[in-house]
Amino acid sequence: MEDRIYDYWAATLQDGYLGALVRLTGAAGGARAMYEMGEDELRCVPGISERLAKYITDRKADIGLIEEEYMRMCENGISYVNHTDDDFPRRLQNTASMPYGLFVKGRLPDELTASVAIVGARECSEYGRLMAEYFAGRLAINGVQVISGMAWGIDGIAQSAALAAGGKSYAVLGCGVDITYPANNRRLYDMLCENGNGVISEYSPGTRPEARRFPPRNRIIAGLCDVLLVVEARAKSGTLITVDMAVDEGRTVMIVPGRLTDSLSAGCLNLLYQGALPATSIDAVMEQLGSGKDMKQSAPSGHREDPHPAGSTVSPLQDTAGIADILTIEPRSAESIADELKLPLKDVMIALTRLEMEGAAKESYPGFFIKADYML
Amino acid sequence: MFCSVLSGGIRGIESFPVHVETDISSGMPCFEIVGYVGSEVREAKDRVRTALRNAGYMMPVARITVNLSPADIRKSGSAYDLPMALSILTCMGVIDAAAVNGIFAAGEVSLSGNVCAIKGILPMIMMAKTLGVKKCIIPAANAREGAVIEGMEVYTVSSIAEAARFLAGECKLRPVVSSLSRDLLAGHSYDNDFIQIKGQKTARRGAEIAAAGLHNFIMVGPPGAGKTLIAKCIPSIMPPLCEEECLEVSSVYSVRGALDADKPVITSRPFVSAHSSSTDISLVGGGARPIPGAVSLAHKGVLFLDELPEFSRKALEALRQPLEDRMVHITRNRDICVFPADCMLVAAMNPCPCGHYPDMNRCTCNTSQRARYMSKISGPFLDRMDICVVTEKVTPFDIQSGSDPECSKDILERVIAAHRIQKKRFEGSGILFNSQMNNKEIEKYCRLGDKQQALMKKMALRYDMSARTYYRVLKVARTISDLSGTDDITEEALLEAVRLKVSF
Repeated sequence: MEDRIYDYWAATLQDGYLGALVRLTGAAGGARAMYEMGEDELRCVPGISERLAKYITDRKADIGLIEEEYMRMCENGISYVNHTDDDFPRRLQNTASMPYGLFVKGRLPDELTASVAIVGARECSEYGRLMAEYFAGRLAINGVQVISGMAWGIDGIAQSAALAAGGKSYAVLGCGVDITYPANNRRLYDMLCENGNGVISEYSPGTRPEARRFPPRNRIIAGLCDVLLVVEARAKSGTLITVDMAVDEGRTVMIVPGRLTDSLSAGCLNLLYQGALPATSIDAVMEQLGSGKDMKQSAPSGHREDPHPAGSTVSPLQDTAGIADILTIEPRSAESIADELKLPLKDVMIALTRLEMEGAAKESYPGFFIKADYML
Repeated sequence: MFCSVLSGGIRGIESFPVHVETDISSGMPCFEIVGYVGSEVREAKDRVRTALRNAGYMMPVARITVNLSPADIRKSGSAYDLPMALSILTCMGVIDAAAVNGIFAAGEVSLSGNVCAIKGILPMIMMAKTLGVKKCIIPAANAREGAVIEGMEVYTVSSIAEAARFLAGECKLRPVVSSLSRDLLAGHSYDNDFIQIKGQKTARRGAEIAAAGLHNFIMVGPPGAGKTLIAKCIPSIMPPLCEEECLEVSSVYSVRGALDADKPVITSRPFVSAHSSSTDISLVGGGARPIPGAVSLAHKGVLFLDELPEFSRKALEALRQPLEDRMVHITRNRDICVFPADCMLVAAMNPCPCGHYPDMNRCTCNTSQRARYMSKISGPFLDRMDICVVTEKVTPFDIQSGSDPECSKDILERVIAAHRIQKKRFEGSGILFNSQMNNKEIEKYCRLGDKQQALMKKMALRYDMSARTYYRVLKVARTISDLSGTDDITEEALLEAVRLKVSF
């Protein structure tokens, strides 16, 4: 039996015993050696509890099953990287809570390329969406890898934007890498599995997503990045756990500032008060990465198409200009625009459709409109 | 001795003639009722016998046979009590046979000999009129409902004795005076008027277009945005009922037993608000003896479904067919009941379970909760909604803002004008409103110019429209153009119609 299978076996034991397991395999000289030790021998290793020794002994019977699982995993294109391997991410090797091993579908982030983790609220605002798209897109254009948790909201938006901009992105999951969680992110998951991107987890394939697995997953996100960028977080947000872990690992934490009136920015503002760096522009983030200025100033994230390309049948309406000026990132209804500009509602609705067709406005939620062509 | 009195039964909202025949002959004394009768009718035996005695008439000790003809249609209800008593009295010689010839009678009797109210008087009298009957005898409690039909002498009685004396010529009764024209003139008064609605321009506009083309209409907005009030105002911007429509609507209410002395006839467009706990039967009608459901009570008016996602899926699915056919068919044993169901569906819902989305400072729901909330309404049901508007919470600023909003009367004028255009357009095609067009008719009546065609094509791509959405946008654009009085569908109408499509 290959040594790799013993590593896999050891990796399935890490839940709750991570530190002890790393020490034990280190002392024994590998997972296979540990497997071959008897319960009494295991108990003699300093720092190993009776409970763990018994647990390891009990689980020895699984090895047949593990071999099967290992074969199946290889067939599904999932690889396993042990913490002792050369290709184990060095960024994680230096962390206090290094995972025993990682399961990878696709690839691991490049060691020499800068990485930024973009995390934030699942239920984000349009502002959060725009900021996540902006930073992820521009970082990707500058060759920075975007790490996140593929969650609903900021995480997924940032990763999709990075991929759309032609960059690389890596997701760290709190379940097996063969499970798409949340299921609605199926498209993103599929894209992350190929073209040099990757889906990573310390949990073996088939592990179901459970709430308790997400905080540990966050430490890997924090570990894999050079800069952690928080886009939107409420005062009590799971994102703050990632921030704490990033601070523990000595990573730079940057915050996208919000307004005092937005409860979705309350957590961000607290972090700024505590001394985190404000991400005031893409340049600010690039500077922290030590990569100098934003390299490409061309294509902005919300590229505005020529409003009236040749052959266009939409005739410009004088009022659209005034309505375009009044739109912001704050979603607002046609009616509130009509009230403010003192225009008939009908004209505003017509103008909004025109602006939307031109790419200058966007219906963020049925009936609510935002500006879509931010020149950031 | 034999005698027959005309009465009526109810099937759906229509009445069919029933001849109550009595024969008294010598033989073993008994009282038999035949003619495919339900248990309520069978029980009439004891009611009528006792009532006659208490009214002072002793039934002869003889063989009494009552037959309800035609004998192959099931009869139910208590309307046959009075005609039964009258035909027995005629056989007994109390009333002259000529006196009951050519009259119509219906009513329930109580043991004391009094005559009580029944359901469905209105369609019965309508049926009697078509048969050429000139005189009707009905319970006094149904007087105002019976007075609706013009050209009919309707006499009301409160007891068997009164009816017998009247027919025997011992006393005179005055026929009730028909009041339909007067009621219709006094007619459509509505409690709610659009003048009460401050702000809410989007919903007002949506309601106007919906009323103009009889489109189904859905409002999405937080609690307190006034969705229910707007829905209640919609009947006030629908054209007044014509006499024929009024009788049709009133018949539904008559069969349901929902007409009373205060409201003998429905002259204003009904507004029926169904509660979200309604069952499918209560919405579309049914029961062992089928009675009309909410969708039929809203005939020619508005059926309002508040908190749409809270309705059971089964109930909403049951509504789909009636909305499509504009009638409800209920099959029972050998009968098919048909209830009309030509109503405008107005629905309201919150954007999410807590109701505050997309206000991220207040909404406490997560994406999956929102998705689950929305998914409670089936796609095919949403496909029946032509117009969707999003309402916002009314601000104190809106409420205090100076100028009064437009009143229903002014909006109604535009709606009537649009209805007139549609009536002319669809003459002879069997439909009346833009919302009723099928795809073929849309191709025919919503032909676009080159510029409009190009715009529509562009929008279909931009908004990723399904064929169904595409046609729906065209229908709504047709109505918008009708409201503005333009023959061709304009670009502006298309651009606005896109804003009103259901987009979630």
